[in-house]
Amino acid sequence: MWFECNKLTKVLEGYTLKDISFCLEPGTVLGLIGTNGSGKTTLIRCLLGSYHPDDAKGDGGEIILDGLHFINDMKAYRKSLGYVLQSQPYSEFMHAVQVGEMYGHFYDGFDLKKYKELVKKYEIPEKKLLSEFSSGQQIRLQFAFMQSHDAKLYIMDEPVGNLDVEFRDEVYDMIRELTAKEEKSVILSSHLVTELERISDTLLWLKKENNTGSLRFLGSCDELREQHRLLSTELGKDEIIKAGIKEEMIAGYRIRDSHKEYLINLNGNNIPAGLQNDIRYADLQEIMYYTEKGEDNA
Amino acid sequence: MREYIREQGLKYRYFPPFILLRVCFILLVFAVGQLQWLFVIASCPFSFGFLYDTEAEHMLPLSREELMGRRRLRIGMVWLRYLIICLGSIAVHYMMMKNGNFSLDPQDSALLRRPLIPAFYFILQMLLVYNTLLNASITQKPGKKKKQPLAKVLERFVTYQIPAYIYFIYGAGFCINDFIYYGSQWIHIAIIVTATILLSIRNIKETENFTIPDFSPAVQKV
Repeated sequence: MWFECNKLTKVLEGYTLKDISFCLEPGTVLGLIGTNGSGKTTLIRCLLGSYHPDDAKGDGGEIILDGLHFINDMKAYRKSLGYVLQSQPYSEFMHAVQVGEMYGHFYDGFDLKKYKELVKKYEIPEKKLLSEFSSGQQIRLQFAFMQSHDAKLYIMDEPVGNLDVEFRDEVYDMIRELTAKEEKSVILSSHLVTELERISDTLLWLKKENNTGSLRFLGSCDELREQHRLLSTELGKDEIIKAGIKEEMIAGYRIRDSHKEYLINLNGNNIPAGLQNDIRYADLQEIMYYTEKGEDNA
Repeated sequence: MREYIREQGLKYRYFPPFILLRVCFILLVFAVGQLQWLFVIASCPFSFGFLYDTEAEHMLPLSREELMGRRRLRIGMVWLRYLIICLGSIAVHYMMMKNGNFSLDPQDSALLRRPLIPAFYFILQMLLVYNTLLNASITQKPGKKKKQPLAKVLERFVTYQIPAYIYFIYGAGFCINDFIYYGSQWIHIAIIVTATILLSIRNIKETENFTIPDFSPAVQKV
């Protein structure tokens, strides 16, 4: 496999990310989803090297990108990465062009001229300190840096939340362009699941239980949708169980007065004939909502 | 080293007030004279910004050895700045007292009457500064520390807190001006040297445990 993450475990104070494994082929987009605190940013920090593995603390696993080990070939591995993070990764007392001059030369093929052109193109202020930037400007700055060197894997942690619609579309076009030649891949985390659904080839869904983040689902959006159905009915939970739906198939439900909706995880089972008319496919947002919410008896 | 000088040059070019801040600091250390011992330790936390890595620096495409070397160099350069400024301040203070330029009675100064004690004290001072900077670089995380096991707490008490108490007691003693003249000067020197040795042991152990920490969002970089 071109990219492998094998049983990645990271132990932090009060939180553990446990046994995350996934693979990527070049030219794919992996969508990273999960509720707040499920470990998306922790996973991204492990992939990028912000968090270093410490065997003494119980960290484990390995990451390999195109034959480069994340520890044994640290330098070459990190040169192959581009990133855009939710939080601004540079010093607040720097200027936009200074970022390129300070850090660009560490990356092979970094084009300072292209970086300066992108800073102008994205209307990033050149005379202000980064502490005075808006969150959108900080993200654009990171995009300018990311595009100025040639990486193999691009990792983006909720990059579009603070961007205007125009730039957001530009970002999605950029992602499509990067992956079109099938030499590069993108890992993208976002809470805008409807947009993620359109752009991702594979989904990695993390869950949080008892301060431990782990894998809930890994596969394509189509596979996730195929596994689930939304049942809208006036029947109560006990009644639909009597009608033939097994209790373990009910992934979540919402009850509002007379209107009830149940998310059914098929798991290889069929919907009983009597309930077929009340069934439809659920979109990603609904699957996530009902699964994370569980029981909602408002 | 070249990379370090380059980065410092970029900082001065893009943030000129930085030069003024540094000049002000140097003048302050020169001005405080005998209170240097207090001022230098109190100003160390303001230097932590030079030692904390931003997230981008945590993720730089460097080998493990290069990352560690980069951080060690930074500690060394900050410490060296303190050393040069403090030595300069002592030299100026000494010459001014010799010439009678100081308002305090120069004959009371330990520098003139028992120069060995301030000399050994200065070594303890610079070791304490180094330990403070090293600690900041290792933890990369200001604020509350994790609870340590009892053995570690005792070790810290013996190798760090006792030397620190001795440092502050003698520092205050220089200001009071008669404390260090009681008894043989060799007893005072022996106490200061013991503190120095204990602190050196701590520095050596911490340097052995020097590793790359995880990035912590609660840091600020100058």
